[in-house]
Amino acid sequence: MTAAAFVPVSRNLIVACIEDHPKAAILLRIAHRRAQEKGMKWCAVFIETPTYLRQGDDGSRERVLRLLTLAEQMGGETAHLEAETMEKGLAHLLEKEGGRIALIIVGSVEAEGRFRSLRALPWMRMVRLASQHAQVEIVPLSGMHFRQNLIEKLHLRALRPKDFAYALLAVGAAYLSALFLKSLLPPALFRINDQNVALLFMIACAFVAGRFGLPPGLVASVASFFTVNYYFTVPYHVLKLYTVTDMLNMGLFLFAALLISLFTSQTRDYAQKAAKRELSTSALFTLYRVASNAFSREQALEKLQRKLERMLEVDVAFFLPPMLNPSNIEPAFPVGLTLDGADRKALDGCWTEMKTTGRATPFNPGTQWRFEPMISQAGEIGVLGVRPRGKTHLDAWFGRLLAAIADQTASVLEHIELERSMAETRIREEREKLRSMLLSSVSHDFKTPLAGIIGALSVHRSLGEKLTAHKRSELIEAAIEEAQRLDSFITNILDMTRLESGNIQFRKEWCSMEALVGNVTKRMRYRCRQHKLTVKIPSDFEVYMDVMMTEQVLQNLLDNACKYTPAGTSIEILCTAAEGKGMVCEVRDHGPGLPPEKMERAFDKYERLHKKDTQVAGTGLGLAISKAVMEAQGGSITAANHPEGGAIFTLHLPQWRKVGHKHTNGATNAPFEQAYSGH
Amino acid sequence: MPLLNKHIVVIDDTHSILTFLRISLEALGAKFHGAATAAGGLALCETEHPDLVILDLGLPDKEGLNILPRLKRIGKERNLPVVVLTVRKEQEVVKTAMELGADAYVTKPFIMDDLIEVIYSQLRLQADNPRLKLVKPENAA
Repeated sequence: MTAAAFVPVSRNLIVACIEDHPKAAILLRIAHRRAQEKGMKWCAVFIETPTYLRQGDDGSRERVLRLLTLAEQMGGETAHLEAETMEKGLAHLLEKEGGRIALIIVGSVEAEGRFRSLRALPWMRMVRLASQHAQVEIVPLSGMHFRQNLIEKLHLRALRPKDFAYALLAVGAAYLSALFLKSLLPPALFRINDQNVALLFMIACAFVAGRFGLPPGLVASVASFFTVNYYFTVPYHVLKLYTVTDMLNMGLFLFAALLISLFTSQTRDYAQKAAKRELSTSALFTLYRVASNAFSREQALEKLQRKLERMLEVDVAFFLPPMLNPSNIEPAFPVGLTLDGADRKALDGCWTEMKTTGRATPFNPGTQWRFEPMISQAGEIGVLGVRPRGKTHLDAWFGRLLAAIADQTASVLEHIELERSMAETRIREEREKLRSMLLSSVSHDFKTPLAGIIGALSVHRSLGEKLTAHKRSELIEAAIEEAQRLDSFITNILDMTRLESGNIQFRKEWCSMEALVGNVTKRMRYRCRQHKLTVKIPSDFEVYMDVMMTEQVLQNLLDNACKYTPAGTSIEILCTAAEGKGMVCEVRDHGPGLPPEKMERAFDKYERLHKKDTQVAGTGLGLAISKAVMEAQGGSITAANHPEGGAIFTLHLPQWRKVGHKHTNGATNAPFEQAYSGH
Repeated sequence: MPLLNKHIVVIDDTHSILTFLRISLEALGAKFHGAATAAGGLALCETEHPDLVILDLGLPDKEGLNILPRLKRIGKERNLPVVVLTVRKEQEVVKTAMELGADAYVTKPFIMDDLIEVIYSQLRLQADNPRLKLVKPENAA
C-alpha cells in the first residue's frame, strides 16, 4: 500500500477501478463503505482497453455492465472509459478529476501460469501511477480471472458452415485467377511460381478475414495452404513436402496467412466498433433533435420509432401506462401491437421491477423482444421494446445503447408532458381570467344603465309632485333609454352565444337599402340626438340580406359612433354600389378614430376588455357580432381611420340590384330589372 | 330648498345620470353644472367655483381618479368636497380614491335620496368646521 504524501480536504471522491472478475463486487462494497466512513462520494470506473475489446466476449460485457449497474444501485457514480491501456485510462482520469480523488481502490489478481511477472507489469505500472496522485487501496481478489480459452481470447466464435463457404469460395477464386493469369499470358512473360501464387492466396485470406471476420480467415489460410501445396508446388497434384526448404516455405506461408487474417480481422473489429460508436452517437443525437422539435407525445414517439428502426435495424415499440390504470402497461406506439405470452410476461416484469427483461437478459430470456425501462428523474415513464431483425446482435454494447436510448426517451417524454401541462395551465388560467373579466365587465355594463334607471325613477318617486310635467317625462325618457340600452346588451350577448353555437338562421331576402338604413336611424334617433346624422343612399338599390341582422349591424356601428365621439360631431352613412362589385356602406364618424394598435383587434370578442379604462359602457361584443353576421351572409366589415380624422367602418354587401321604381318600404317582392352579384 | 344657490358640478359621461341629477338638484334649489368629460368638468370647476363636485371615475378622456387631486387643489381654500360616483366598488379603487382626497364614495346604481343625504352631510361638514375635513368621513361611502 502506497500513501500519497498530502491529501487536501477538497478531495472527496473515491474511485474503484473495476475489472471483470468474479469477486469484483467486493471492490464496490469497499468503495461504498469507505465513502460512508469518510462522507465522500464514490465512483466505479471501468477502463475498456483494446485488449479487453478484443478478448471480452458478450458474457464478460454483461458482467461488467452488471457491476456498473450494481454500483449505481449502491449509490455510486459510474464511468466507462476507453483507453489504449489501463495505465493510460487511469492517467486520463487523473488528469481530469485528479484534484478530487482521495482514494483509488484497485483489485489485485494473482497472475497464473508462465510469464506471470511479465503479465503483471501493466497492472503494476497502473498502481504506481495511481499512487503518485492519491491514496491507493489494493484489494486482493482471491481466485482467478474468468478463464478464457484460446478460442475466446482470439474472439473466435464457433465455426459455422457459412464461414467455410466464404473461405472456400475465396480460395477457389484465388485458384481460378491463378489459372486465368497463367492461361492469359505466355510463359515467357509470366510464370506461375510459389511466390506470386502465395501472394494471390494471401490476398484472398486477407479479404476473407477483413470481410467476414477471423474464423473464415483462419479457414481460408488453411485451405490456401493445402491448395498451394497441392496445385502449385513441385510435385504437382500431390500433398507432400519433400525438402526442408519446401517445408519452411509452406510453414512461413501458413504463418503469414494466419497472421494476416488475425490482423485484418482485428482491424475489421475496430472498424465495426467505431461504426457502433458512431451509431450510438447518432441515435442519441436523433433523440435530442426529436426532443427539441416534437410538440406532442404521439408525434415524438412516431418520429423516434421510425428513426430508431431505420438506424438500429430493429423493431422498436414504446409502451406506456394508460392514464387510468398506471399499474398496467400498454403499447403506445405502434398502436395495436400485440405480444404473445412470454413477451407479455417479460414486458410486465420490466414494468413492475424496472429492470431490463426479455431477449439476451437474465430475466425471461427466451423471448423475441427485449424490454428496457424508461426512467426519468420524475420516475418511471414507460418501457422501450426492441425486437432484433436478422443480423442485429444483442450484445452488451447494444444493451448499453438501449439503456441510454430508453433514458433519453424518458426525459424527452417527460419534457413534452411538462410542456403540455404548462401550456394547459396557461390556457386554463387565461380562460379563467377572461371569464372573470367578462363577468366583471358584464356586471359593470349592466350597472351603468341600471344606475340611470334606478336614479331617474327614484327622483321621480321622491320629487315627482314638485316637478313640471316636462321634467317628469324627461326622467321617464332617460329611464327608457337606459332600459333599451340594457336590452341591447342582453341581445348582443345572446346573439353572440347563438352565433358561436351556430344556432342562428339567416333569412335572406331582397330589401331596399334605403328602408333598412331608415329603420335603423329611426330607432337610433334618440341615441344619436347629440350628433349630426347624415345619410346618403341611392333610393333605388336593393340588397339581398337578412334584414333584421343587417339592421343590428348598422345599429351597432351607429351606437359605437355615438359612444366614442364627442357630442356635436357628425356621423355620416354613405352607400355606394358599383357594377360587378358589391354594395359598400360606410359609417364615418368625426371622433378620435381608432387607436392604430387596436385596429387589427377591433373585431375581437370582448376587445374592450383588454383596455385598461372602462369609460364607455358596452359589452365589447358589438363589432364581433357585426363581423360574424356579415361574414355569415357572404359580406364583410372592415375598419379604418379616415385621413382627415375619425373612424370609418365599411360594410360590403355582396348582392345588390337596381330596381326600376322607388320603394317606400322593405320591397321584398319588388320586380327587378338588373341584378348584380359581387364578390 | 336646502341646497339653495349651492353650485354643484357633476362630471359624468352617462346622459341619463346627468339628466336626473340635474332635475333633482335643481328641484332642491341648487345650481347644476354638468360635464361629460374630465376636461369639461375641470373647466367648470375653475369658472363656477362650485360648493361640491360629483365625479364619475370612468370618463371618456381621462380616468376620474387622475383629475381628483387637481379638483382638490382648485377648491383648496373652500375645502371643496368631492363625491365619487361610480360602478366600481373594488376595495383598492375605493382606497385609492380616498387617498387621493375623495370625501365620499357612492357606488352606482343608487337611490337619489341616498346621494342627496351624502351631499347634505358633506355640505354641512364643510360649513361647520373646515378643519374637521382632515378626518375622512369613510362611513359616507
